[in-house]
Amino acid sequence: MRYLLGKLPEQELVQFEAQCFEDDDLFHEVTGLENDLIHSYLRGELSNSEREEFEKGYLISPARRRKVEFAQALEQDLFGSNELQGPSEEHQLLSGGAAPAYFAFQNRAMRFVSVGAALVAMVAITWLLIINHKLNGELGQMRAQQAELQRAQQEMEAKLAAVTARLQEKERLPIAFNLAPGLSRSGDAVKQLVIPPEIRSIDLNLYLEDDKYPVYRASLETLAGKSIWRKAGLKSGPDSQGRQIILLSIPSDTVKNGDYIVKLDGITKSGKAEENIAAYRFVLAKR
Amino acid sequence: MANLSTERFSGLLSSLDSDRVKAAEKYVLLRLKLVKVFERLPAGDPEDLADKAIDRIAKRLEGEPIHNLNSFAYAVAMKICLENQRASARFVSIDSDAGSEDCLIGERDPENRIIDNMRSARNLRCLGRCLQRLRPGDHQLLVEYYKGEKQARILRRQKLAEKRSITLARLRSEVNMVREKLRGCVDRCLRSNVRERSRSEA
Repeated sequence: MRYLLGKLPEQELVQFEAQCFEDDDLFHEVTGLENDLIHSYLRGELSNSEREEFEKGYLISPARRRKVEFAQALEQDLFGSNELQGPSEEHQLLSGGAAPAYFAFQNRAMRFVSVGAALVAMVAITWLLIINHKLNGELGQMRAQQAELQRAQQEMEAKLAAVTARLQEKERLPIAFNLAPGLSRSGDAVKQLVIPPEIRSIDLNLYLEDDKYPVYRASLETLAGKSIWRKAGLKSGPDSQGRQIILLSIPSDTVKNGDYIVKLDGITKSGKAEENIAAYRFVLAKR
Repeated sequence: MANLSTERFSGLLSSLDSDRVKAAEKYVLLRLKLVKVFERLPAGDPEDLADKAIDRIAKRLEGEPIHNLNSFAYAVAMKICLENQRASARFVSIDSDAGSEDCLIGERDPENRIIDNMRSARNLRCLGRCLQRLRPGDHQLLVEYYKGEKQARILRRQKLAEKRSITLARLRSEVNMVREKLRGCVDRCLRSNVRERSRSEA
């Protein structure tokens, strides 16, 4: 466990890992422990201090965070719908091919048990329908609240951008913005970049979902497809959270207010260009 | 998959075991061990780094036999970790000056929320597809293995091992391999979806 939570000193860590390479059973035991730890974390089975230790000591890399995301999806698939099905054995007895065999009995006591089980199932189904109706109502309310929060968030972003612009005006620092790929994101507004007019450059952190190329090429276009500016020879690197990004510095005098797209091409080792591997949209406003 | 020539890959398998089937199993396990080491690095793709390690091991085998392949593989992994750390140090993140007066400390960038939501939805879609490709009993094995809370889960696993007439250690390793197979499938699905979506949106 100390290995998984990053608590081993360097020398012990190396010795332990070397041992895992030699001993297959030990490796499988550590892997099993790791997976169990992740599932316990997702199920809320860890105490507050354990949870904190896990987040600080285990979630230290993008790969491990992806493992937790995978486990989360697996939990949802394996147990998300099963939670509503009641005891698994009883459910199997009352449905599918097992039912005819189960009900083909002669014993009176067994008849009583099966009727009782059917009644329990009916009560459970009625209760679930009521809960479902209630949850649907709550879901509607939550969606309305979410829309309200999004509006408030956009207002806050605009205010923050204005304050940022004022603070940085004196120092004339370049302004950096994070951009996620995708041209259409349902329910989410396009990213607004609000910058002071005298800023020298606009730095964009282009998030890469799949960092497969040694070098990249970016082109800045209007929505109509007119190319305004290009930059080649770009390389990816990690941000402070370990996510792979490309830092793109656009001279601010090349762009005016409006809607833009940054298109990314990947360049393979042999120099071949794979075009449009990602696209990033934003709206620029100089104030 | 490592970008090895057929001869080099064949040489690597022969070094692992004379039986081809056992050699393939050992190769998969070796690769998993390498990936686990690289997973704790703050940057770099563990799968790509594992391919790099496999490539170097196979290349070395061409020149001379290796007495203890597992030990050598770990040494190669350590070297690649060091190289990766040196390469990462060259990039200075903009967020690294978060302590300076000019930075605004406040709400996490909303773009991160969008990125996280996009990833969760894609994870589920890919998982659904990959689960259909599992062998018939494997899905149920995962359900039975991970069902229940804490102590009940442990007891359940012991019963499951007894039912299958295998040890708990063997059950654990089977579940690990099914899970890794699933995770690899989901990973490949996510990567191919990224490329398809980028092309359709452009």
